[in-house]
Amino acid sequence: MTGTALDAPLVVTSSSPAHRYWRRYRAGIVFVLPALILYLAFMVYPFFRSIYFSFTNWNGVTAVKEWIGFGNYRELLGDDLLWLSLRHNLIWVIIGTIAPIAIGMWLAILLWRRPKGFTLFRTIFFMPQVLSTVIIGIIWNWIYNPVFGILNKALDAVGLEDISRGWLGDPDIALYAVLVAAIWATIGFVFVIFLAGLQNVSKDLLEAATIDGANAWQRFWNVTVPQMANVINVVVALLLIGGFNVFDVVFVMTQGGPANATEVIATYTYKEAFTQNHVGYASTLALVMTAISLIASVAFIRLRERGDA
Amino acid sequence: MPRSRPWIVALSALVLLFSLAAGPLLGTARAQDQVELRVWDQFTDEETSATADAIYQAFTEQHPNITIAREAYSTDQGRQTVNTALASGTGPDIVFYDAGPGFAGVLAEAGLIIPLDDMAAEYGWKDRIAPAALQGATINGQLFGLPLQVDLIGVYYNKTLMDQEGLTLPKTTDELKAFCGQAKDKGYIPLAFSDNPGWQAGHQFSMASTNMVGPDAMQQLLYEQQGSWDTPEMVTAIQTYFVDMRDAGCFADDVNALTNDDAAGLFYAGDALMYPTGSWQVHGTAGIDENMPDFEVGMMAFPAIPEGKGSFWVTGVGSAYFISADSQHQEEAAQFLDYLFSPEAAQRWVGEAGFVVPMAVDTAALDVSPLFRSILDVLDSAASGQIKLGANIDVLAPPEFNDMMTNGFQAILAGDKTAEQQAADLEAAWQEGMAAAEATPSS
Repeated sequence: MTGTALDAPLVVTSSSPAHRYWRRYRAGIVFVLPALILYLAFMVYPFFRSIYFSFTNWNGVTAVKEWIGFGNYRELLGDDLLWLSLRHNLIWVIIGTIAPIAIGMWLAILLWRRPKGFTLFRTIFFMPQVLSTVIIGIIWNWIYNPVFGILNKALDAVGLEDISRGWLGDPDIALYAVLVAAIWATIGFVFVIFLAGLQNVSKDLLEAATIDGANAWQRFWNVTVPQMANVINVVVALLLIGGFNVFDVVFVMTQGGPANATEVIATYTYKEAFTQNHVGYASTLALVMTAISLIASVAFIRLRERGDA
Repeated sequence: MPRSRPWIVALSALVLLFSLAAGPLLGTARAQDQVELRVWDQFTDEETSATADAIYQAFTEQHPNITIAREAYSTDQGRQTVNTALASGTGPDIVFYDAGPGFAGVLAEAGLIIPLDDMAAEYGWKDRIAPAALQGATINGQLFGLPLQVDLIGVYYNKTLMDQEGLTLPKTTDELKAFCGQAKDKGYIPLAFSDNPGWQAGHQFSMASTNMVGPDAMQQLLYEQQGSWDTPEMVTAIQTYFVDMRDAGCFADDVNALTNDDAAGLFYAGDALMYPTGSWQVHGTAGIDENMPDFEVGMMAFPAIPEGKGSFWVTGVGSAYFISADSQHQEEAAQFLDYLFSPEAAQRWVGEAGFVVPMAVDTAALDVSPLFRSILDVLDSAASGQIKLGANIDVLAPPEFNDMMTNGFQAILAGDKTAEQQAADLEAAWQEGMAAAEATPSS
């Protein structure tokens, strides 16, 4: 084989539109291709397979996947556990979005003017973010442990024995106990984003507001927050999606128990797929989760755009 | 950008192609007589893993043409992996997996593991392995697996502390409730029962329900689907253990928050006088023998419920070895199983890993603790027909039922559910689970 033979087709097709397109974008295509292949194989293909599975009663093992039409979707409507899980997700989204934003903002404002020990405090506040969720779950399990947990020991030490309890074993409290761990883990991230955002807040405007007689709250609410709107929007969108998809910290800490008290839609989907062998129904649940995350995010982005306009 | 010379590119491609094609060919030629058996098991802790390695190696020494590629998955990891691996044809030749209908039952119904009846006849496995254990791995009348480990479930008690406090062993649940009051007054937790994440309740329910209806009725219910879970007797069993005993102060506060490790810790430290669980808790670094050198510990069957049939031990088969239908080496796999269940290997499973195996083992020659020997004696008595054993429910029940045991008993303990509701929900979950298992298309 010679060099001429290999080069020949290039000469012949050099004038075709496809070739011109290729010549112009080939570097971009080559760079995008590996990621695109991975995305197609691990995101797009499974997504469409999930849609297909949601119309079957497949148990994850059999070769035959029996088509049951909208059977799984009908089952959703009467599934008490789904509605319970959704309720828990809603609580998670509301508290798990508001609390980190409020606390993260407060901490960021505390450090805004770079007080003494700025670097130390910034590191401490950000620290939980570098831990994996599994580690966070285990640590908080120890904190809450009824036998040796530091929380009960601390409460006992200050005479609050009545409050101490098995935090993760009480169905009325377990969800909030897990939420506290998750909020603790999220604050670092929110704090750092807000601290960066605060650097762009105009100090001149704040001074002007002070001269005009605005108090600290008025300056924060009417001057600082509007200038931080974009940063807050991004953080809210991320926390909203995270709240609907939450799985890891719940699974590590309670596995959805006790008595389904911390069941969220992701842990419920996991159980249906991997312990109950209801892969068809679990696919339906996964699609519900996708739809809810999508609707919440799009609605939020629309609201934000309307606000900007 | 400088262009590579085309002939270099072409040559490189040829070399690459050749190496890809020739590599496996050369490998095949080299390993023409060599067979590699891929084995997945659940022995992830150090001690049992070392025993498995040693026994597998002893097999390969006897069969030089066979090598074993072992992978160990924890029980939970296995449950997420085995189904999909076998269904996609990428699974192992041999898998040590849960024997219940929600696990191996699903694989058997889908034709992914093979029946072992012919091999059992050829190798004489049915003469060697206890029929009761084999029943646990029998699906629709066919033997699919060889169960390695038999568990005995009962109540451990700290004899040293009980003697010291002048407390006697309760024979009935009424006496047990009185014992709980006395133990509590003396500052002890009467029973180190834990129910986080919730599987523990299934074992307690197995003991209470067996004592209420008797081993025969439990066998019929679990193996022949005769009877139901929502009878007044079952309600009494649930009420006695999860409501009356809770109200009598038998358990630690926050039982839903306690893990099995917490419960073990309370018992080991002498804070709790009794510990209701299984024989797996005796051996190993986290076991009773290792952690309670200063105490004499005994084990008893759960006390009789006055309205019930008596006091019975409960036994169960955990996991069993299965052969994949896709395996190209089923004959070698059978040889491997035959060795795992040989008298020589059984001796090691018992002596080194602390397993209770469903086979006759000369335990006199083994250096085992008095507690472990007492457990072996109970199982020997059952094997010789002197006593009847109840059945551990969770290894025989479909996943829907196990989920209801987990969440339902936690709800009762939290005061959010009644025994009647739980009995009705258990029956509904049983029917749903059994219907799902039977509806599985096989191909």
